[in-house]
Amino acid sequence: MTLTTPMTSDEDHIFPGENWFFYWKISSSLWKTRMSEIPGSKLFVPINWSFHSENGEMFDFSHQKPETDLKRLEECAQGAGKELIFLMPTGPAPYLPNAGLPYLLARNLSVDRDGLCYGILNADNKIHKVYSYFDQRVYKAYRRFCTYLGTYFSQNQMTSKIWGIECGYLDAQGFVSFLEDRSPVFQEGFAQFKQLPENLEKNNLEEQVWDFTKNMRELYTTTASHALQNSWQGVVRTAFLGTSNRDFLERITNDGRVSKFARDTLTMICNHIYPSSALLSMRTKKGVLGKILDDLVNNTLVHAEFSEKKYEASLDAHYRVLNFFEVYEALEEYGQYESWNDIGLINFLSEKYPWLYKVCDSRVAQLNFQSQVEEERTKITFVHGHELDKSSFLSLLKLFMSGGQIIIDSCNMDVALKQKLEAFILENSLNREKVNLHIQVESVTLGEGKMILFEAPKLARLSLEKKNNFWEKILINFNFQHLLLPRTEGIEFFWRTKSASGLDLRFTEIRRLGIYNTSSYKKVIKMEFPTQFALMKLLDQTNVKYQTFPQGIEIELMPEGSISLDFGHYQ
Amino acid sequence: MNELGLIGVYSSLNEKQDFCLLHVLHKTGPIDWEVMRGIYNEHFLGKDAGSEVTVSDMQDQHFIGPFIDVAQLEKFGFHLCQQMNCQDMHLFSIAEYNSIFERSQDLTTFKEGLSKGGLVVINNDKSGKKGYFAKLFQ
Repeated sequence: MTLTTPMTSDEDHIFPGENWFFYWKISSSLWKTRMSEIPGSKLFVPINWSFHSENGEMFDFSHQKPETDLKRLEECAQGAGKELIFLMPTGPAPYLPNAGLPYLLARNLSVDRDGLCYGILNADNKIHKVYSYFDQRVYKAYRRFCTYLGTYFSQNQMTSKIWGIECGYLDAQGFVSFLEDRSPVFQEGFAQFKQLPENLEKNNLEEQVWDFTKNMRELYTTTASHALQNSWQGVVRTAFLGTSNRDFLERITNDGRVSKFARDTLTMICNHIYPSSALLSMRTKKGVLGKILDDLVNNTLVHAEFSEKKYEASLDAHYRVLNFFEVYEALEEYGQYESWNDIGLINFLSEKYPWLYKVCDSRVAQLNFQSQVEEERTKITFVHGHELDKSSFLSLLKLFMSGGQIIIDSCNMDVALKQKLEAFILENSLNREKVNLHIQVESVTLGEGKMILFEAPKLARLSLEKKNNFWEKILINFNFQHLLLPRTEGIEFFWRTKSASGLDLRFTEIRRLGIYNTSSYKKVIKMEFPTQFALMKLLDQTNVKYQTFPQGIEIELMPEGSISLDFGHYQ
Repeated sequence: MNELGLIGVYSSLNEKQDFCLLHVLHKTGPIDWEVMRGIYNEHFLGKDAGSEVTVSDMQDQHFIGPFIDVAQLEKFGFHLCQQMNCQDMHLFSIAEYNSIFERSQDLTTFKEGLSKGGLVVINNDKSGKKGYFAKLFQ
């Protein structure tokens, strides 16, 4: 018998993962103490609308409940030596009951594309239901809350940054926002949308649904960004592990598969989606999944996504995600043109070069390739010609002239830009070559710079096998030095990179390989290192044995085992 | 939920009121698409089965179907029960599934709702009874 108060699992509820802090789950008198206990310099605080308002009309910011005092929360974070970052949902927030809606507004359940209610389980197996954000009352109340919150931040001279988060999940097609809806409330709004003069001539129903949803998403985002403009930093697409309806059904019978969540996490990282494990139980993520999240989200993505550009120099101290392929595409646009996925590129890269690619939103990046021009390691850049304008085209040419390796889908590229490119090739007497690789491909070279042009629709019509063959033959022409590992069932690995520090001047770069056994079986991996790579050290070993050879290593990983290897890379 | 049972959620697919299975759940989790495609290929594909769908059509689908009526869905459920060695399968329309979901606050009540509702297909081999489907499909 113990005379002390029994410890509950409050820790899990207050810090649900990735340095998120649920301030409403703990007395404000304990905020500072608990904040100082958590490792890491950044603390993410999602703003809980329903905690500050029960009816959407009246707001409580320390008037009644001391836990609603966000100014005090900011002061506590400063006192605990943490940088506090507020997260403002721009739609349903799946980690909250009613997905964050004040309960009087939670009236119309939202349904997914198949018509099923969104089933979300929290770590305690309670069901969180998602209600429609297409309800006009919800939008009006959201606007009131944002306005009030903006005024509160200004009046209290709060200095913390606010990031919008668009919450969603990962399914076979990619990121799906919880704002998406097909409920009767959505249908009602959609019927009115279709009657607008500018939409009357559009016949494609799917495109209209897409447009309507996009408009609604932008409405919520713009409302929040305007009201909170002094602190607003932008919107991060955040996918919650285990929250698709398929995951929900799986979690009815078990906790969900660690291997799937691990794979989802890596997929999200490569696809410009921020992962969150806030809805998984601690039991699920205490082992190798927790290690993956710690390595790749807490110690890598956090610095890349939430640090200001002016501090970029200090980012050299942290490992960054290593990628050789930067794939630009306007995400969240209706698929009028063939996407990189449609023409088999993403599938090919996933199989052949797992997790070494990065899909970038071309609208967010504004197709400015200056940072790539400055990088030492050459990447292969994939761009759709129809997304280029004059400025981004010039930036792309600059990248090419400085030795960049570029692949352009030239279909529907602006005619004037095509003419400019043609003139550029002729004026500079560049080497050009036309070959037939199932489809016509044009290759242009200038020193180390390489540019390949092709038309996506022709490739889209080919079989998967021919698409893979096409990309295999195209990419064989590009040089990049790396240590490729074959895919092994039940093993995930992920590469990160950082600049060589003062002590490692022999190397141009340090690459860290994390290897994780997400299966229930013992796994053995053998690696041989090319001469450009030197194994520097092994670290973070959990349930592993290893044996080194000259230019090689054999690693035995028990279930849930993991290890990191640092390699120095010579140019 | 009965430990041996299967749960299926189906939807109408198009204006012709064809049906498709969106999700099928076993005690180990959702059933692999390939297993279900195998059963569908064997019993429902081709002109003999009254379907114009081909195997290649099904590769990109994230559902199993089409089924021309609920009886075909039941037949599929029966074959699936046999393959998975399950006693029964509870088939839910989207409306029934959503209704149970709406009434549930946690996993326990949701599972209870599923185990008591839906259209039940019994695998007679497993239950030891001789029923309508056993006579019809074997």
